[in-house]
Amino acid sequence: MNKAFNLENIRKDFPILDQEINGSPLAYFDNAASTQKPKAVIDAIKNYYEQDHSNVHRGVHTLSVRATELYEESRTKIAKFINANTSNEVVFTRGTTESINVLASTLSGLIKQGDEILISTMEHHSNIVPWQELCIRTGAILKIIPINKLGELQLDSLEKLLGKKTKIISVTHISNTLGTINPIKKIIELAHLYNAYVVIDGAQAIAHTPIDVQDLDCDFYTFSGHKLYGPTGIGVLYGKENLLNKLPPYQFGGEMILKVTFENTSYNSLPYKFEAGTPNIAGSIGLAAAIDYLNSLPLNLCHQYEMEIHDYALDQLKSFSNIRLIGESHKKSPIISFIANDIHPHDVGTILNQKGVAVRTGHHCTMPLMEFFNISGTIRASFSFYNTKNEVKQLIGGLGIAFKMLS
Amino acid sequence: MDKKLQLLYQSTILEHGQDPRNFGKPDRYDEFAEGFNPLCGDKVNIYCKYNFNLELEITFESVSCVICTASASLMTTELGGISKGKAIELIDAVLDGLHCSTLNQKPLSKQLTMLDGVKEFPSRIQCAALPWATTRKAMIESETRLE
Ligand SMILES: Cc1ncc(COP(=O)(O)O)c(C=O)c1O
Repeated sequence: MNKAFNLENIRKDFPILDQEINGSPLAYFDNAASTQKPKAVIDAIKNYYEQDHSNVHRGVHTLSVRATELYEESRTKIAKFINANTSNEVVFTRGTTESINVLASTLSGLIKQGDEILISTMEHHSNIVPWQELCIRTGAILKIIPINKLGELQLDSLEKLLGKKTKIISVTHISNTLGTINPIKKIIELAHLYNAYVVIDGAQAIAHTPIDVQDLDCDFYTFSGHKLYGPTGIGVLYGKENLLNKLPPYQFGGEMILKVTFENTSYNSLPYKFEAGTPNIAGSIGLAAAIDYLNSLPLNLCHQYEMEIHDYALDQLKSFSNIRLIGESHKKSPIISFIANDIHPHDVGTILNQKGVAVRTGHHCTMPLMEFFNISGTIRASFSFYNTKNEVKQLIGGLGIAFKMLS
Repeated sequence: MDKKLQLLYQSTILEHGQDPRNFGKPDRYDEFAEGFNPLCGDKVNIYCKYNFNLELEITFESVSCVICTASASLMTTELGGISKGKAIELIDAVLDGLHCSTLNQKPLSKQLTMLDGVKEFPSRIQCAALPWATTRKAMIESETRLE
């Protein structure tokens, strides 16, 4: 059980890291946007297409049986990874965005005019716009849980916002812009006092903290495979079985039906009710391979190490007097957002890229949050367990050059 | 220092980016448009007015990166004092140069060919193009309003 953390070996598992960008070694600090893929994931997808591919749940022939087994095995692995009660509670989607859209669309039926939906200031656009649309359709009211200057959710304000009319609370577990870790267990507890459903946007959290949906008692949890070292185009909507059973299907077609006549159609059981059409089979297999890979690592040590890199970078950044941190929550994940006096993030990003350093600049799909801090964007470095202190030094060196050029 | 970077952030660009010409909102203007780059959140407001000779006076306000600000600043110095028709021609030549060919091949002033450095940075072409496209929008939309 006592696996050691071996950075050198881990880096060898990620072929993409070993390359030069504009003549410098790549330093990849855009992990919050998407993580890189270990060879195990790439191989799993390749093997699937080379040996096992066919459509799922449809054929009696061997390949179809194999593909179906692999697809369902992936579901089971994911269910275990988040400690779902049964694999019926794991619905495959394209990603977090689609998972939230499924919910905002299918929960509509339970919402009346004047009901209230709560989200927070720090949400990603994908956890804002679907709810706005739901409100337009149903006449419900969108209310915003405020944050403080450190970028922490204000729980006392949440308690004041909660009431009989509150039907849904949808908040992010970890902010992709600020790195704030929200106290979602407490939020869920509070929401349930008012019988409100809780949707958690786990896009960022899934790669940086263990998730136990039963312990959290959350109604719905959503995440994307590509932020968990898996492929793009695959994601998960977790929902408590009794709740998913209550909701209507999201899309209609093949796979999600039980019996179709021209007069009447009955729907399939969970989770297929929510999986119309041929699914992303290779994606699910890739995601399961990512989970297997993560399970082969000392995951808690990986998470610890990411924070060490974060703390080191934070310390190094202090050598610049022109930097203002955006997001200084007491509980943080390995994401650092900052701005530099009068220097536009975009210009810094271009110069860093010329030095091989990949950071994200801009609003990170959180425009209302930018408005709260009265800025147009930030420079964001987000870390993974495959990053090194030398890469952080490369970032700091690049920033020095950028600031010199631009001021 | 990196050649491509030097070309992108050459001294004229940096100078215009940090100390833009014709910056601000006039009391009175004939045409206005707001430009927005959803990728990075940059904003540009363009104000056009025409004097009694129908020559353009153009100013802008922006929250934007060096490339976008410099491009806007250079644009105002180029478009100031010419007719609307000529201005649209020049705008189209620049936008075409940024998106398709190179600015060097166009009959443009030396100042404007400086924006060519941006072509080495595909992700930044939008930054340079935004003020020009916004001015075009201001001019065209005001015509449709009049009709
Ligand atoms: C907090 C958060 N929510 C939602 C999303 C959307 O994820 P996806 O684009 O994979 O659907 C992201 C990804 O950027 C995110 O960081």
